[in-house]
Amino acid sequence: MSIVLTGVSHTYSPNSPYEMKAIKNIDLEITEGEIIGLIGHTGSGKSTLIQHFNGLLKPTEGRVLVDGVDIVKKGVKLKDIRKKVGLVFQYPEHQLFEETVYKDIAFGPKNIGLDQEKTKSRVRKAMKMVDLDYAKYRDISPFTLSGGEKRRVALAGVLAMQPKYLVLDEPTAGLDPRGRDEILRHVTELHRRENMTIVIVSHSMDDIARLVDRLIVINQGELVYNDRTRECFAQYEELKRIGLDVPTMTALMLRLAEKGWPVRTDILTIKEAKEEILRVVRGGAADA
Amino acid sequence: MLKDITIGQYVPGISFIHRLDPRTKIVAVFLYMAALFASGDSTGYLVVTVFTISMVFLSKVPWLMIIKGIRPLWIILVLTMGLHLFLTQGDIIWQMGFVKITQQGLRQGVFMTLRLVYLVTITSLLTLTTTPIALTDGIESVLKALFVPVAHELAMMMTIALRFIPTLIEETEKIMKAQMARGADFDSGGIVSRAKSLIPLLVPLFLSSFRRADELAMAMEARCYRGGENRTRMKQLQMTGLDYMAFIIVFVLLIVCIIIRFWM
Repeated sequence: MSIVLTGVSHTYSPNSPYEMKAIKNIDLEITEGEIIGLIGHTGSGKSTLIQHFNGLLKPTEGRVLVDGVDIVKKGVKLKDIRKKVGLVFQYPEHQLFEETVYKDIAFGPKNIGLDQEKTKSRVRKAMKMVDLDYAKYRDISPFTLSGGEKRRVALAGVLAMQPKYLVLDEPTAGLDPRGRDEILRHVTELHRRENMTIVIVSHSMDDIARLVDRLIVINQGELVYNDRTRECFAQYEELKRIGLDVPTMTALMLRLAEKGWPVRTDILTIKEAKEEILRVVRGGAADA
Repeated sequence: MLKDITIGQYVPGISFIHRLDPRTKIVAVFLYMAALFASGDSTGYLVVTVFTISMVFLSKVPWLMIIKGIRPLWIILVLTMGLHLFLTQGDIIWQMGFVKITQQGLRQGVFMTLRLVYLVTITSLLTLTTTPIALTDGIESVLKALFVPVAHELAMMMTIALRFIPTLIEETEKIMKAQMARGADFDSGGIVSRAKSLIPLLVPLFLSSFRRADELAMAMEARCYRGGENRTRMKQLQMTGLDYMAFIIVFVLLIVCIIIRFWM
């Protein structure tokens, strides 16, 4: 089972002076169980692309199949697609509206027609997934919470739909380091424990390097790379050309290599960097 | 859908109309309105029509933009046309059962509809060819000339309101999508359930508007904004020969319309 895009293009306001081709001829497959990163410069079409995954936008050209179902086919209920593919927008806490945390998280389950008992168990479960204590938070207003907590409530609101695929648009934007780490930890857990398929859009190459197996890079609406994370970041010159960075540790290794150190440059995390530097230093010491 | 709203939009350009002083344009719009309401027969309407069309040509604003501005009014236009067409007493030219069209009704209907269309055309031409800043500067000095108190504050409120229309539209679409991703449904069901379905949209929208207002007020205060008292401007409005020419043209239009109405 998977989300498959074939030749998908999207044009905003076609045949008008404001016509804008946001994405062009994208072929993509998201297989169940994967954790994928999506990166691209501001305005590269990331947000447009992810809105095709759950039918919020319909392709102007091409096809989107979610578990084999064409999202624009007649008789397909978009609600069913949206149940399967959860989409968490940027700054999701801006969508909170209910008087209590419970009611806000219950909004999704209620919309898909679940009864009270089922809704309750789903809210409980969703809150647990993001580490919000049910008894403590249930009856308080989401607007009194801190930024990080609000975001977790909003995330729980999508998780309560129990999606198979979870798409997150910049889930850590505007959070402090602690809030950021918490959200990323929950995302990792959702992938490992709940076996959710995850697509994460981010500007932070370090987060991406730490989290994802596969990386999709788009530039000006076109797919540039679609490969394993390490292979993608090996193309640092090309990434730089389209205005993207590499993870801090990769950058560090590149600098060391530039200075003549014989280090590998396909390093993504601090741990890998430490091992590689130690390997070279120790090896060098042995030579001397 | 929401993107089609053209209120307050500005189409950059360097046409004759773009270069006029905002005060000229505002006063000219009022004079034009007077001319429009003074016209009551086909000769008068012919003059006004020619004038309106030449103004749009002069401004070089794409026709599509003007039509987009009129489109949301179609219900009012159809209603105006229909009511005059079917309810005016007079010489019957077409009848079916109790439904009848009179010659006077047809005339009235066409004139009234045209009047509305022209009103909207010229006023949207004003906003389409004037930057919001210039427009409010213009409004401020026109209000001051009319001895309206707090003219500056009123004008400032207008600028801010205009400035935030596109932002709010964008925000609405974003929140709508976020709620749709949680299974919300905005376009089916009866009136009551539809109204209810707006709550998840309106609450976040209000909240973000308040937040924005707060932030804006703070940013303005941080730059020592304190209203209109003793305020000077960087860009002084200046009338040029062009403006006097425009005044003469609009005055001529008004006088012609009045002459046609009362002496012909």
